[in-house]
Amino acid sequence: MEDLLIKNGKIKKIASPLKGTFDHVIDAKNCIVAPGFIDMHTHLREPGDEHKETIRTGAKAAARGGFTSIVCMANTNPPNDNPFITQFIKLKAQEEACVNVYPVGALSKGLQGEELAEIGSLKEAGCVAISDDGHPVMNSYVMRKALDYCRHFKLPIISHCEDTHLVGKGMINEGLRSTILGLRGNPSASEEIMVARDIALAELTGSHVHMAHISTQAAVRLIGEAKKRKVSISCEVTPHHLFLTDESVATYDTHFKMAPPLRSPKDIAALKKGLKENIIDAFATDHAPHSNLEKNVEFEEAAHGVIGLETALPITLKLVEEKILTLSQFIEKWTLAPARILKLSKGTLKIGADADITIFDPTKKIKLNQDAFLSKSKNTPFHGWTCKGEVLAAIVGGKIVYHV
Amino acid sequence: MFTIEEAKGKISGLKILIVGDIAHSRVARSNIYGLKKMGAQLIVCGPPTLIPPAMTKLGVEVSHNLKASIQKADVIMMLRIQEERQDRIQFPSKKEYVQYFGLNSETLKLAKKDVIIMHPGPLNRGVEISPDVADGRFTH
Ligand SMILES: [Zn+2]
Repeated sequence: MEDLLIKNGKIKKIASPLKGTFDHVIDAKNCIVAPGFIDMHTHLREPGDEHKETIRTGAKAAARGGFTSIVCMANTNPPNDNPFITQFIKLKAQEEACVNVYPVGALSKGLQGEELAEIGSLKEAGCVAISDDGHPVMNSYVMRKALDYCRHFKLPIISHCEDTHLVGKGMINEGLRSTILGLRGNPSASEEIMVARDIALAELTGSHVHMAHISTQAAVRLIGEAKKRKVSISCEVTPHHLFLTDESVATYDTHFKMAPPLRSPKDIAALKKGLKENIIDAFATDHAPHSNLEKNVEFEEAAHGVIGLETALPITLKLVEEKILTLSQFIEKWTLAPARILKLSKGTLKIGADADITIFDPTKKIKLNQDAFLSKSKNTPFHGWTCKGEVLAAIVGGKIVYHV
Repeated sequence: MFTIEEAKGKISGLKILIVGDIAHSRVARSNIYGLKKMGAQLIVCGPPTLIPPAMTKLGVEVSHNLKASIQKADVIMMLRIQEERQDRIQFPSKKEYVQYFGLNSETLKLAKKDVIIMHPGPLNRGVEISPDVADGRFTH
C-alpha cells in the first residue's frame, strides 16, 4: 500500500506512508489507483450532431466511466478535415470538457477517400492521429499516399478495416443468424481483406497503421503474423465485440447494430486469445452516440454504433476474472498501450507525470443502467447487466472531475 | 549543369539540393545521374509521397525537411510541381506544399550566402518559388 502526492497537477511523490499535512486526502483503501484511462476511439458529435452528444456531455460520460483522456474521431459534421475544425474542438474542449480531448484529423477531404486532407496543418493544430473512421479508405493508392505523407509527420493512421464493396448492404454478421432473420450479411472476409491490405501497405511504406475495433478471428491471425515480421501495426478491440455475438440481434434490437457487426463465439474466443498473447494492443470503446431518431427505427434503417464510455471498465474487467488478463495487463490496455500508439505523454503514474488518475473498486457489484448515464445518448447494448467494478473517481491534472 | 559550372567553377564536391517532385521528374533523374558522375553530393527533398523509397539506394540523401537541408546546399534546384488532378493525391494542397517545401525569402535566409538557385523549365510562381525569390539575384 502506497500513498501518492499530487502537487500542481503532477505526481509529486510516492511513499508509504506519506507524512505531513495536505489540502485534500482521498482514501482509496481496497481500491485500485490506476493511471487515468484513455479511450483512443470516441465519437463526440460536435460540431454538427449536438442532439446526440456534445464535447461537454461526452467528456462528462468519459469521466464517469473512469476515462481522463478521450480521442475523438473526425466524422463530425463538418468533418475535422481542416485546422479550423481542430481548433474549434480544442477550444470547446478547453472551455467545456472535464477530461483531456485529443482530436483525430481526417485522412481525406470530406472523408471522401479521394484527396488527402491537409495533414500537416491538422498535426500543427493538434491532431494526434489521422483517420477516415466510419468511411473505410477503399482506394489503396490514396491509403498508400496518406501513409507515405504521414511518415513525415510521424502520425499514425487509424484504419476502419472493412471492404465496403463486400459489405454492400450487409448489416449483421453473415452466418446462420443473418439467414434466420432475413437480414443481409456482412462476411468476416470484409474485415480480413482490409486488414491484409493495410498490413501490406504498412510494410510497403514503413508507416504505422493502427487497426480500429477488430472483430474477427482472421484479423487476429493476420495481425499476429505481421507482428512476428515486425510490421509497424497495432490494433484495438471494443467491449461489445468481446462480449456479444450476432445471437443478440435475435429481437431486431438496433442497440446491437454496429460496424463492424457483432460476430460469432469463435471470433470472440480468438479476440480473447489475441489479448492474452498481446496481439491486440489496446481496448477502445468506439463510443458512438445516437438518439432515438436514429435508433428507434427499423433495423435496416437504424444508424450504426453503440455508446461505451460508461460501461467499458466493468465490462472489460470481466477478462481479469476470466483469467484472460492480469489486473495490470488490463490497466495497461486502457492506459499505457493507447498512450504509446498515439505518442501521448500519459498512461503512467511515474513521478513528474500528469496527475490523471482513475480510482475504481474491482470487487463492487453494480448494475449498468442507461438512465444513470451522463451521455446524451442511451444506445447501449449492456443495459441491465450486472458486473463487478465501480469507478469511484476520475482525476484530471490533479482535479477531481468525477466521484461517486 | 553548365550553369552550375559557370557560377561555381566546378561541380565536384558541391552539395546539390533538388526539391520537389522527384518521383515524376525525368529532369531530376538525369541531373542526379549526371551530377553524381561529376562528383557532386545529391540531396533530394520533398514530401515522402514525391520521393521514391529506393532513392537512398542510389547514393542520394533523402530529406523531408527543407529548412534543415537548405543550410547545407551550394546549389538548390527547384522542380516543377504537377497540377493534374490525378497527381493531387501526392499532397493535400498547394498551400500545404508551399508551407513545407516552397522557397521564399524567409527560408532562403538559412542558405549559404553564395548559393545558386536553379529551376528547370516552367515554374508555378508562388508555389515552388515565391515571386521575390524567383526574380531575385540568386536565380539562374
Ligand atoms: Zn470505425
